[in-house]
Amino acid sequence: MKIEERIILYLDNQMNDSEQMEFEKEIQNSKELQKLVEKYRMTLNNLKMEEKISLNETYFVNLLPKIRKKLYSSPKSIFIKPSIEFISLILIIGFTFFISIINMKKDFNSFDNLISTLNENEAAQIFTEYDTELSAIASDQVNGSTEALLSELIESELNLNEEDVINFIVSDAIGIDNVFNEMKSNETEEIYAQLLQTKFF
Amino acid sequence: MSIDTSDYNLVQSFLNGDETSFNKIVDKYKNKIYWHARRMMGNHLDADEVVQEVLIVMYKKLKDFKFNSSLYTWIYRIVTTRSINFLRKRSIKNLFSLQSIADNNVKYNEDIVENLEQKEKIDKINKLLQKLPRKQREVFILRNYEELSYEEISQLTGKSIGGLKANYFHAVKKIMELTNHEN
Repeated sequence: MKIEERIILYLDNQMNDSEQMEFEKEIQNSKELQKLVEKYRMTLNNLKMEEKISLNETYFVNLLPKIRKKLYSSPKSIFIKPSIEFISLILIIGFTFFISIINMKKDFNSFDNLISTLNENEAAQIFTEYDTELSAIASDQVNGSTEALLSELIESELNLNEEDVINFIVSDAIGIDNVFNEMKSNETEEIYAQLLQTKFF
Repeated sequence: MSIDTSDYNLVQSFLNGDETSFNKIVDKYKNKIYWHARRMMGNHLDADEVVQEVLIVMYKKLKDFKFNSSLYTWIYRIVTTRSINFLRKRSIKNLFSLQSIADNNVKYNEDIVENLEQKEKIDKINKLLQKLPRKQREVFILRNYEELSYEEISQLTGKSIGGLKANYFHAVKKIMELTNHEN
């Protein structure tokens, strides 16, 4: 045990009789140890100096009437300190955020639940078609033009297949582009509106 | 446990409606209550708030005091609990910086100690004590200032005697380090 630790135990009267006697012998035989023990004792005693301090007695004289006034005064109106308001606001925001995260998780869980009701082939079909549409829509490779892209969308919306369209074009010698020219303005507007409402992604 | 008959008589007298008995109880323990709060809080203004809370609690709860411990021990438990609650509130306020710097400066200007030199020494001691962790400070105050036994401190705080001894030991070590550093 270090010497400082033994000094603290000694000054705190935590040594047993034999330990105390032994330590006191060491103190007697060592001036350095005497000085160190005295330093510890003085430091701890100096901390108690307030016992010698004169206090303003007016403070205590006024204390009891102040207490009695508080005890007998009417109940305070509810005043929420700004600090409590601030903390409450943070808690409300945090709670709202937490609830929204839980709800998002529920939505994902709902989607997961939906997928889990499908068998493997159905799920694969959905993802394939979903992926195909995405690829077709996102790719600039589709016939290399936005008009061709639009044609693809119209085909899927009108439930046409490519062969029918081609046959139509070949047999009637009308290009896809001319399909729009043959339509009335209200028809194109209607198709356009339907296209906008359809979620391709 | 032997009951201090004077405390017992004062309490009974107060419970029977004699308000002056409460004044006598406060007068008997006012210095100890104040200095304990002052050492825990570190400044006069916070200590004053704690002292007022303690006296209000004493006034309201003396009817429930059954002399299972000494009156002194009961009062000390109230002071310690209130001080700890106040310290927690203060640390939350500091965390959110909701206490202005002006408020903090006022605390160190108003004081119950009249002599300026003594006030400076007290402030130095308080700053030293405030550097101790709360648990160590609590044990150190009760052991070094109030000279309570570890058994009494254990009853007061609900902590184990072994833990209290360890806390006291570390508190003294820390105080010596801080004092040597300042010198």
